[in-house]
Amino acid sequence: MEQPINLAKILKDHKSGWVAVSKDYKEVVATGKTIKEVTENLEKKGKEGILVPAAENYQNFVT
Amino acid sequence: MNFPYVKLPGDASGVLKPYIPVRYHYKNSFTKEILTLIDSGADTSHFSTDLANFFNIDWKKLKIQKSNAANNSTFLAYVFEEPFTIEIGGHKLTINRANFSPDLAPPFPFILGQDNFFDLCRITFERYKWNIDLNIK
Repeated sequence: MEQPINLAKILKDHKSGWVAVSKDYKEVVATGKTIKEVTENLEKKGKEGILVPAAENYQNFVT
Repeated sequence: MNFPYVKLPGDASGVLKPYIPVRYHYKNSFTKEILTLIDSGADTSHFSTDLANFFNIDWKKLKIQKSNAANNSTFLAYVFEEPFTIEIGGHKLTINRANFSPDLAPPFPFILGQDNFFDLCRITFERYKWNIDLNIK
């Protein structure tokens, strides 16, 4: 069985906006209120990352 | 291509969702990879107006339509009918139509839905082994 990517721990203190997580999904490397802001903050740090929407709770939604 | 499910904050053990990293291209600009929900229940793709703002698309001038959520509530969507490119695992696909909305729930500001994303690839949700198998046509 594959292992899921576990972002539950590293995202738990981020309730809104956007975070950038490292390519290995192990740490948050930048944050921002918008895609543009988190991208700029990521580039200022000279890091690569994957953007993730931050929310208090991702559970019990029907889309 | 195989993508693992993503565990996100929820109850004590978290919640697992079929999110995959997608890079969005429009004209000469592109985003970082963005975790995007693959949603077979969505008729079309929906994106936060934050993406339109990133690409300097004046979404307020687009045609407005009402989209319906699963509980029959409605929310406003701005219909973007210009083709744009998404990139998944280095493969580029053309999306013909999408909706921008300022009202998407915070956990799901990026949703790839049936028309026309599901026409472009075979998607197998293998939740039993926490895997999404995506084959581009």
